[in-house]
Amino acid sequence: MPAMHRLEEVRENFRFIVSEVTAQVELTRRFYDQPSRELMEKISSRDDYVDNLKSVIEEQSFDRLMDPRGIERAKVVELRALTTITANLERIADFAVNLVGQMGHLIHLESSRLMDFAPFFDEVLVGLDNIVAALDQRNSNKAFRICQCEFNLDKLHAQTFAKVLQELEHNEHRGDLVTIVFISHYLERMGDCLLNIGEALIFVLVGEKMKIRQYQALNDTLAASGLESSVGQVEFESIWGTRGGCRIAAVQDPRPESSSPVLFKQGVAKKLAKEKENLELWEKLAPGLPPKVWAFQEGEEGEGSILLEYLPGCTMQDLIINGDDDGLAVSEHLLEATLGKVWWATKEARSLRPDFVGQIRSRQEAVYRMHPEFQTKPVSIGKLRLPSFNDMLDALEELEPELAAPYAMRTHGDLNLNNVIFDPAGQHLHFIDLHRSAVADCAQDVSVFLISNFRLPVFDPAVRRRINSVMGRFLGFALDFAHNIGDDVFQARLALGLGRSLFSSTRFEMNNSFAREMHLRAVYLLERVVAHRGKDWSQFKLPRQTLIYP
Amino acid sequence: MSSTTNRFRHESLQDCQSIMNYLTALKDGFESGALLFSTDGRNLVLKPEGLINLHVEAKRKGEEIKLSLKMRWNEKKGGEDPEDQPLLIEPIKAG
Repeated sequence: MPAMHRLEEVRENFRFIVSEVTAQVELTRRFYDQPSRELMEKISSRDDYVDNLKSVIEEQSFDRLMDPRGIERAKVVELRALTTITANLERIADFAVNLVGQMGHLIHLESSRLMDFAPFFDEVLVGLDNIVAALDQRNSNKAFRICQCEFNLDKLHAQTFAKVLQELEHNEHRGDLVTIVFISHYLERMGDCLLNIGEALIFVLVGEKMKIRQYQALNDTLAASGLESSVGQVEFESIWGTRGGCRIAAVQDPRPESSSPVLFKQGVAKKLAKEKENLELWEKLAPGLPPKVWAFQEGEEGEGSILLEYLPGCTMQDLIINGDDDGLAVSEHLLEATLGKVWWATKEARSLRPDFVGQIRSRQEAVYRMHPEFQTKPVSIGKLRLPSFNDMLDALEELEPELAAPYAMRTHGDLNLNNVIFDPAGQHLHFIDLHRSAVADCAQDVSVFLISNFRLPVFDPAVRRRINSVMGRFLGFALDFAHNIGDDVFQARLALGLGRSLFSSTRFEMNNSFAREMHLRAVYLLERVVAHRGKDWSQFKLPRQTLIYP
Repeated sequence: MSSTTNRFRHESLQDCQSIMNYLTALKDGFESGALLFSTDGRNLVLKPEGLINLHVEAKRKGEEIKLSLKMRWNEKKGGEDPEDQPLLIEPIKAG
């Protein structure tokens, strides 16, 4: 019978394999800076050592699991995760060898600007660097950072791919370009492994299996519902990074008489104070709509934290995707009733100049980083002159004051499908993420809400039909509201807002053809507004077909 | 500074009304004998002449409709008018 290995021995070998694979990636990175035969041999010979370590860890883990004296569940979970992580580390090491091999296929482009793979290596190394720390410090924030590597690497791969496609048009070294795609793809596959590693770590730290499809989506869910209810039940003190620069965690309500979890947010005190103020303001306008604020604390150095009510239910996005038609119908009805009531009650007559063009400009850099092909130059076909996108923005900026909103009202500020929660048990609607709420133009909320529907990357015809009908109904509601308050330039202003939202949403969309579809529609909407220049704005008809996809 | 290019591509969304601007631009080009396509200062000038092969294709696939117009012609080299050339008939060489 083989000797029993203690868990500590497995852990020790695990630390070895992490540092060994990290060294492999570092050497590969050095090889890409300065290729040499010596380095190449070093990398391929070390790969055997990684393979051996993997076998040793597997054997030790299985021995430990077979211990006739039994083993605690927590240890089983850890061993399971360690073997999963080890297998993925070994794949990363294999990819490093593949990467070295690919360099041999490059003939002409060694010094090309396309050859800048440093950001990929940086990202992989950040992931590897966090593994042991996440485990030793029981820090799930670090585990999430590892998961995030996958999405960052995907993005880098998409950018390289786009650049290569452009380059293919005029660069004669096509073989090299194909090799560059392979290189980028191997690095991207390291990201897939890092995601598996991050998920395995979360399993150890949280005790729940969580499939992280997209970090952003996870944040959205967290921000929306506090946590998955199953995870919310356990005492959970991990901290996540969020888009808004706040850290969020769901924890047990510290008050002994209560067992319902609350939402805990940490971040810049000023921002959280603003959120608290907005939440209280909304509570007055529509009692029960926002989460209740249990506590707010200002810490040192501008840090603060806030304890919020955990809202049960699911987001409107879940309702649309999962096909809960009854829930969806009620939530739509409640949403219209709520907005109608709040907007009507808070509207003040004042002329509000829209700033959709400014918002587009501020997002251009991020959009073009993801989709460089969207940067258009002026085009002519015979006598037909088509301005570049930037020239079109100049024209829109000039006419924007003509589209001023006649009323300002209390807006959500980020009214996307994930920020509206429906509680089917109590048939209640809730708004979350109100930190951007302001007295503003309701066309902002309307366009954000509509495009948060449109941009859902779901192409199942039944879901798409549901999305189209939700948008159709909501648009009908918004147009009625605008008509009733006498906002007769609303349709033109909304066209700008929709163009803005479609344009800026492409920066998160890695599916190129869907991103292009959104971009073309944004340009079409903005062009229609420019084409109406000099005419009566109250006669402008929003081209509704722009919102119907496919 | 403008230069020449051999390729021009442009994609956009249009509606039945706005697409007329494009069709008119093409129609005017055929009438005047020169079609100019330009992007970012790079020009492609086409001078349609002689015989033009016109391929019209329309199809419906479910809800997706596609209508394509393709025009192909050869640009004559050296400016000789084919009308002035005698027709030659040569025997086919064996082999």
